[in-house]
Amino acid sequence: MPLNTILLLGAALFCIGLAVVVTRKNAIAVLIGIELMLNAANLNLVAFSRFDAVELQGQVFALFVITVAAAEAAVALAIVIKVYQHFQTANLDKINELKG
Amino acid sequence: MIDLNDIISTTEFNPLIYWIIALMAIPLLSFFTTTFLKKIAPVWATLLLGINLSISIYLASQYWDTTGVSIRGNWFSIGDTQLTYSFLIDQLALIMLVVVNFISVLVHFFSMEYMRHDENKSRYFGLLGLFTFSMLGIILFYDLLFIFIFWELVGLSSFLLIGFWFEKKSASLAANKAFIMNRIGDLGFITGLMILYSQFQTFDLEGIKSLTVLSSIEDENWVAEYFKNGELVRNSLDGRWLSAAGIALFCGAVGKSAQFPLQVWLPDAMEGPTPVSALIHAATMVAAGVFMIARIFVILDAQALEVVAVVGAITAFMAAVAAFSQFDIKKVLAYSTISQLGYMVLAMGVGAYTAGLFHLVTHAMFKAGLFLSAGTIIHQLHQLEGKDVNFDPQDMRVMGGLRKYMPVTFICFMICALALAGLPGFSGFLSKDAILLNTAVWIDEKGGGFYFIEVLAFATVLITAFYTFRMIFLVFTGDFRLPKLIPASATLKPLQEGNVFLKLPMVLLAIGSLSIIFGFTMKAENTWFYQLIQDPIFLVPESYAAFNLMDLPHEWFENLHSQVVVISIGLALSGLVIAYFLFKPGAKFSASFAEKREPIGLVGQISFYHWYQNALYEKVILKFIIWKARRIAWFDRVILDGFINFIAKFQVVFAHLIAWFDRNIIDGFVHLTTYTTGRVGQLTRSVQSGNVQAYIMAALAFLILMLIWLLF
Amino acid sequence: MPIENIIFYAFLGLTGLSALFILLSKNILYSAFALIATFIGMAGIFVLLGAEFVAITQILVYVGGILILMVFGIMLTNRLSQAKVETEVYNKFFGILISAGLFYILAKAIGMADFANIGWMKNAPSAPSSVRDLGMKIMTDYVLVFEVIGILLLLALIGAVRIAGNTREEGVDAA
Repeated sequence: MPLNTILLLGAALFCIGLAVVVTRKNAIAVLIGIELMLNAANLNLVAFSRFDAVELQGQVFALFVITVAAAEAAVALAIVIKVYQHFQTANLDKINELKG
Repeated sequence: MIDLNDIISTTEFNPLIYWIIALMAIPLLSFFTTTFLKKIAPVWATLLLGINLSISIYLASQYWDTTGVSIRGNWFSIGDTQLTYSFLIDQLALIMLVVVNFISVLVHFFSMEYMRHDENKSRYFGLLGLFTFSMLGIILFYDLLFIFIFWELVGLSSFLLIGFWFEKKSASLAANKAFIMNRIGDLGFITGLMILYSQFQTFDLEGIKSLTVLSSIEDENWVAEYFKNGELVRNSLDGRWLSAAGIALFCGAVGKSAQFPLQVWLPDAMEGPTPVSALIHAATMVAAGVFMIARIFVILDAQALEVVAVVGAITAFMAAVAAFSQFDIKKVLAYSTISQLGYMVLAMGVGAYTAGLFHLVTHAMFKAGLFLSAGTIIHQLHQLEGKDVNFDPQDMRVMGGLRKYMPVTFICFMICALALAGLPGFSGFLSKDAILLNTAVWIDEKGGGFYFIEVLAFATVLITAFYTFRMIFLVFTGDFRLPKLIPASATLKPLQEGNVFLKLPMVLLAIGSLSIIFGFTMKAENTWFYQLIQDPIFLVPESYAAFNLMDLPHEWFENLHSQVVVISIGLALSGLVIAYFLFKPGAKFSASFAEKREPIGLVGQISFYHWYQNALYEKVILKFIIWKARRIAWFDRVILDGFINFIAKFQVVFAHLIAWFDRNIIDGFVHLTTYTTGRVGQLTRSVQSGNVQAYIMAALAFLILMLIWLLF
Repeated sequence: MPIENIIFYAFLGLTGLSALFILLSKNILYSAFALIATFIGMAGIFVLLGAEFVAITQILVYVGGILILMVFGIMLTNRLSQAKVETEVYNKFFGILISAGLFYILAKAIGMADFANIGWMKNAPSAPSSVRDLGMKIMTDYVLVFEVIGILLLLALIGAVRIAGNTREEGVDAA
């Protein structure tokens, strides 16, 4: 289990998540990409936590990230549903009220 | 060499100043308070004037024997120019004080009855106070600037009182006329002031007189040299300015004293209430002109005095002629006033200073008496007016036989009329005799063409007696014509004598018209007035000065006196006789008098229309002024307006050019700026797509670039 | 090759491939299911890395919670009468370019980093941690953060309910 391999996996997951976030029009799909990115970060934290068996900061941080991600997912999905009720669509390119 | 500052320096404090202030403040107080009072206004005003009269008499008794008390103070200074005020209490001022206040009080008293039913009597009495205040100012001040100020105030109060019944068109027109005529004269006054000030740099009469004595004629130039603030001042004017100054100042008197050619306002001024006519337009204000000449008498040169004499003689004769055909009793008195003023001015012109002032005083008495008597008649006739009875109570055609109804008025009127006609035993005789005598002596000395003055003066005596007795016969003898003319009036209450308010002033003035008041004598020289006031000596440089009458041999006066007395009495009596035969009850003219519209014949027409002077003014001067005004209006309209319109048009064209420049160049620049800003805004706005993912991409693209820069 | 490594690579492959599937699939529902696979693969890697509690939590929270929410979200925001729940794709070129560029940089950075020579990693005790240790840490050193994060989660959930759940008019709500 070389560290580099795990870090590369994290980087790959992060970039895939990023690509999903950027390219998908559907808000749910974008959320999926965000979850991927968060998990990529978690992977890094846990990987480095292996070298910190006493303090376990990485693992604790990963737990908090998961918690916050759960909160974020809940709120985000609520907003998406509300937005959908308002605009009758969940496509982000249609929701451009802030367009200059 | 004399220093001007010494002459006009402030005098030491003299308690007399309080009396002077009181004399002027009381009538002013009357003016300010009376106007706001209602019922007690007449009583209050009369009371105040009574106090003033008491002060005048007290002052007269105190200062009778002094040669004159002068009070002077600094009014204000501008730079090194000092303006002073000064008073002079001499016998002349004292006599004038008493006369003015005396007549003013009597007129106030008379007006209490005369104006009883007038709604605006508080205003009337207030204005009487204003007038008295102004007149006292002229008398008391010994400074030409202040005399001029009060002179104008007198003109103003005269204007206000002539136009007292301003709802009558004729009254307001008459007031305007009087005011404008006075203005023309005042223009001369101001000119005189300017000449004297430029020469002497002071308005103070004492200063002017002192410097006149010291001025000299060098090469036909009038030179005055004196120190002012330590510096030598040498003012040199052409010698003719000396005459011009006197004539210009005399112009003021011409306006105020109703002399030819400005006298036309005085007959019209009879539109005012009759007591006002008595006070202002017979006794006092018109005398102000004569008084002013008396004040500047010593600085008049021979030429100016000749002008004065000629004007006076012409005025006296013209007005006397005009008086003998009038229907309006007040018009007759008005013309006679002008005529008598002409006598006074004539006296001044021939150098008979004392005689002129004497006539001023006697005339004030008997003319005020005549006016108040006429006022009584008018007032009582006015009582007869009713709903169906309308007539002009001043018209002599409705009078006649009033002796039976109003005996007291008749006697007073008679006494005053005899004084006016100049018959012995009455004051008018003394003063008129003195004037005629002095005139005769002066003309004998002068010779040449000046004899026409003497002719005019003596002719005026005849005509004066004639119109005076014509008036008396028409008014007081025969039958009362009103019931014949207007039968409805017969049924009303009969004509009555006036009450005590009307009678008392008349009686007092009639007594004042007796010669015994001035001394038990037939010769003017023997009166106390002559003892008190002597002819002054002319102060102008010798080559310009007129001769002094007193320098002439006394025998001339003695020799001429008997002749003059006989001729004047004879002329007066013949006037009386002519009047008797023409206007006695049942005589030819008397019978047709009531039906006449206006007199026939050349003389009658000339007289009735006062030598057509008004018509001349209207036809020639007014027309000329209107013609000139039209021309000027044309000039204004065509040339000035044209020029202005041209400028305006040019401006419009220019404005269009500027507008084009504005629109295209300046606005273009502004538009370019806004367009550029707008385009830049559009450009940057397009970045704000509103799409979160685009923002993320942009952010990450920059993050990548940054990392590349950091890592490699 | 020890069995541990085989298991590790298997999880690694599962994770990577399912993630790639997410990227390539247009169907959101498939993507969501592929995400389950990714999470499970990562949970396996966590176990192998000695973080059992995190792995369990990962499966409980993500698979049991978040993904259910996602599926509900998909159902609520799409008309289910449609044959496929697909999403449109745009920004393909720039998205892929940026992602690839970022991956290149990250990979390069990882390659450049000399982990073997970092002091605290080299001297780290190799004794594996236990769930007990983790529990002790959370309940002692990190107890404040733990409580705060619990409150945050509670508030977030209440807020989510408030946002999504209330469809009544504001005026009626106030009354």
